[in-house]
Amino acid sequence: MGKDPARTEIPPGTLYMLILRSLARVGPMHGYGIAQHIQQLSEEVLQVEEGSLYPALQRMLIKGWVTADWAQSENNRRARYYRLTPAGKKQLNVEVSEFERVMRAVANVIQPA
Amino acid sequence: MKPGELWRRIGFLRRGRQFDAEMEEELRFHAAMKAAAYRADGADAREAHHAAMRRLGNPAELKEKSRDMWGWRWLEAFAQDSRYAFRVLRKSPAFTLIAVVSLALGIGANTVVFSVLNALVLKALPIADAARVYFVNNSGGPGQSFPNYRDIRDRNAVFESLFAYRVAMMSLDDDRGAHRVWGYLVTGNYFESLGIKPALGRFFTPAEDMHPNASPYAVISHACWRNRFGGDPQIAGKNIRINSHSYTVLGVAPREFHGTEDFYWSEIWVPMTMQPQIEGHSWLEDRYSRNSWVAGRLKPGVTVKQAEANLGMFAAQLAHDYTVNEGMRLTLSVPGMVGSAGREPTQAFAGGIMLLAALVLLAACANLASLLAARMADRSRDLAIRVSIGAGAGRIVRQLLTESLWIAMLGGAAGCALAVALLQLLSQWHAPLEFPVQFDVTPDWRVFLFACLAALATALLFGIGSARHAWKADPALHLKGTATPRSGRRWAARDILLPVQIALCCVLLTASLVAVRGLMRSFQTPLGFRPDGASVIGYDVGLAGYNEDQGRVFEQRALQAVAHLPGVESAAYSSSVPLSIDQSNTTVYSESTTDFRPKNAQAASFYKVAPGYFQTAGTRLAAGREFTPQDNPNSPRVAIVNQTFARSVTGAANAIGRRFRRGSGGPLFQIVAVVEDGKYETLTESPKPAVFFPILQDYSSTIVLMARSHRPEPELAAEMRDAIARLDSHLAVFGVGSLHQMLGLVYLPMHAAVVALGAFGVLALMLSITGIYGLAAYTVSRRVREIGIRVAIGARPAQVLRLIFARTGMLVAIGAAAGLALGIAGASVLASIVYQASSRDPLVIGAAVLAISCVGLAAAAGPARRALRIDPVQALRHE
Repeated sequence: MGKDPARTEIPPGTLYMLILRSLARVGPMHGYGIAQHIQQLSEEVLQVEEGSLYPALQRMLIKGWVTADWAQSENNRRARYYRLTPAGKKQLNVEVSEFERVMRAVANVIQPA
Repeated sequence: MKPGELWRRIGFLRRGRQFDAEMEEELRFHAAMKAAAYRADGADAREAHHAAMRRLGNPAELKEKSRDMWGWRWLEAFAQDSRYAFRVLRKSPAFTLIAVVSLALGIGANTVVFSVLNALVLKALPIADAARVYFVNNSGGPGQSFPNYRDIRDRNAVFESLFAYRVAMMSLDDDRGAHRVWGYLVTGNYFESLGIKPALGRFFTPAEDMHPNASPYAVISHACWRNRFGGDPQIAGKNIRINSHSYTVLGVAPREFHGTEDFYWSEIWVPMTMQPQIEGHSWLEDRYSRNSWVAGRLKPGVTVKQAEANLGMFAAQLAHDYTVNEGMRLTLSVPGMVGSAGREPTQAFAGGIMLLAALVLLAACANLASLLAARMADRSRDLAIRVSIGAGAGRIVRQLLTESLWIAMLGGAAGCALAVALLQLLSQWHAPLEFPVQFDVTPDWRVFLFACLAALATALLFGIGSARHAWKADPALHLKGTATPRSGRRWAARDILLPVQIALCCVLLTASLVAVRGLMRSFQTPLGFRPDGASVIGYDVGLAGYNEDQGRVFEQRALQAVAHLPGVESAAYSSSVPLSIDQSNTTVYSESTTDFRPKNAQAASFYKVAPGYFQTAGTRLAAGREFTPQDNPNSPRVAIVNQTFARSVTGAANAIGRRFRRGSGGPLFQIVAVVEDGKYETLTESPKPAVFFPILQDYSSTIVLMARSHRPEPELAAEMRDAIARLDSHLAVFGVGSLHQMLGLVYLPMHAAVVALGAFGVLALMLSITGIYGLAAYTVSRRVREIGIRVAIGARPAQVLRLIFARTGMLVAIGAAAGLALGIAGASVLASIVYQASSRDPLVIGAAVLAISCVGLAAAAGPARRALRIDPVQALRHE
């Protein structure tokens, strides 16, 4: 075990997009699974804080982007699985295109002249 | 917010508890997974568990954060505050009861008054687009002559349509016989202008305006159709008998429509062209008879100002064309209250009462605020503890406001229930009048909105005081038990609240005493006749189809029949009696006048009376003789006048033998007697001229037959009705009873004022008692220790009392003095409603002072006893 590698804050406003993308890619997952998934795919760069993850999931439930159901997990414990809804898929597209727009803009600015 | 989202948020409320459990489980699962991962990395079980828990941070906080996402935090906080508030309120039931009851009374009184105001002023007539319909006033009065109406209707530029109407009494036959009913004579465009759809059949059209006496049609009210014709679905087209003539029913008015006056509920409408047949004589072509009321619908986009400007030009034209119209002004007012003549005083009255009601509520607020302030001092220790363990000031203030909000809500709900019950009674109440007066004051949404706002406003008003107190509290001082008012600031908020409250109560008390005193006096005011012991019965032989000769014969026979009833001392008849609904004016000129323009004329109330009328009515003759049977059509024209008439028309106090002229260029009458002045139209009028003509010389088909006796009036009146029925069973009679009952309408506003003001006075007294009691009890409880010490070192009871009550007494005295002064200043408003109400009446002032003193003493008695019973030993041990 040992200490966690240096944590990088997830850029503000992208957590929803990361969660939505993970669910779209893998299918229904529990909170822990989502955090692990993001961490692994980002090669341990992006650390999902539990303190942000669970409130964010609640917010996504309110918005109707995901639904939650209890089910048996891989180690036979009850876990809450989050599933993407059609509204969530739409939202993912919106967030991704918005993110790409911003990234292009940032790239333009920092490009050496 | 999208609807789906709102729905999910509301759904969350249902599973609030489940949420917590699920969240906990989810976090436990997360920690377990994390721990498992750490173990896989090689940590031992305990270390892994601790690391996972550390990673998770504070699970309670995380749970709260997730929960807050749903946006119900405020509601949860409110529910929590409310639970606490109810616990606090339950702990001091006496305080809660006083607070809720005084608020219930305050809000209840306001809701009732507002509801009446709503019915009087705010509710429009149930007609289409009522905002465009206006009443046309003629020089401040309602009456307009019919030829003038026709001219205005045909030549004005601002009204889409203009109609005329007149309150009329008719005799209507149904299968139970003839009944006197009240209705309207209306022009053919009446219903069309109002935009009303018939419940059945059809309404009049302008075709009904064409030829006099050629449109025997009628429209009946929904109630009339139901009650008199059994709701016959085939009623349209059937014939009914009105005044013994056949009329065809065209249709039935909708249920909610009772005519164009708010409180007069018409049963029947007949075309104006039938006026000669309905009323026996025609004034439709007479510019001197201002017998019709005029209203109309403005063209779209025309403002009241534009309309009045146009009518002003037109009035000048009419005045130029006809001298009778000299000085005519045409103004508009909202319809429903006999034009501006009725609306303005009614509005002023309702507004005045509303103001008093607001004072009651304000006094209740001041009362509660001072009670709460007193309680706050006792709770400051409790609050200080809460502050010192970390409750923010905002949290405490919110808690206190929640408490006052719930007190206000409870009080408001109780007040509303009280008001609804009272209003229901009032709406069902039939004024004891020979006139279909009906007050529809059932509360509508405006009333409930008002009650809600009133409750909220009071909650804020009295809650803010105590909240401010908490805001400024210094927990350290309170916990040490040494928190005393800072030196230099000797006046606490409650020291100002009590005098304010007492002053308000004094104003209310003075007002109600003035009103009651006025009523007492008005029963003693000389009416110019003695209603006690007089029984009356009214009828109109014209309605039963009698001509003048038949009518005269019938009137003599009726008089004989009644005069011979047992116990009757004298009997006589007249066209009407003073102060009843049916009042007429005539124009008179002095004998020397040759220029008959309106400025030289005088208006006088007139009555046609039979021989023996003055003896029967109990009117004193100052000089001269009563009419005799010899004053008949074959003898010279004579008249009897009152003293004011004698002075103002003939210019001499002893006017016997002098003559005056009736009507422009009309005949001369010789005065044979002068009678005492009286009241003719209202109780509050200043002395006005009145003239009596012999009914034998001037026939009237409308008769009030009066008998004086020592027997109970209802008993005799019933016998009189039987006697009339034996002569003609088909004749509709009205006003059977005592003469007092016939005068009911003139006493109605005064009775209403006295009931309303009396209720306010009682409320004010109750509020004063609770206010003074609260402060006195609080003062004693705060100073138990001090009193104990003083008693221990030898203070006498009088000294103890002075110590405690000197300040309270002074505050009450200041408040009472200010209130009395205000009451006296403000009560002049009352004088316009309540006859002979004078606030400078020493009796009123004396009674108000006495009442407040008694209330003060009574309220302070309990706490005083407690102060005297303080045992120094116990008191000193107490803290």
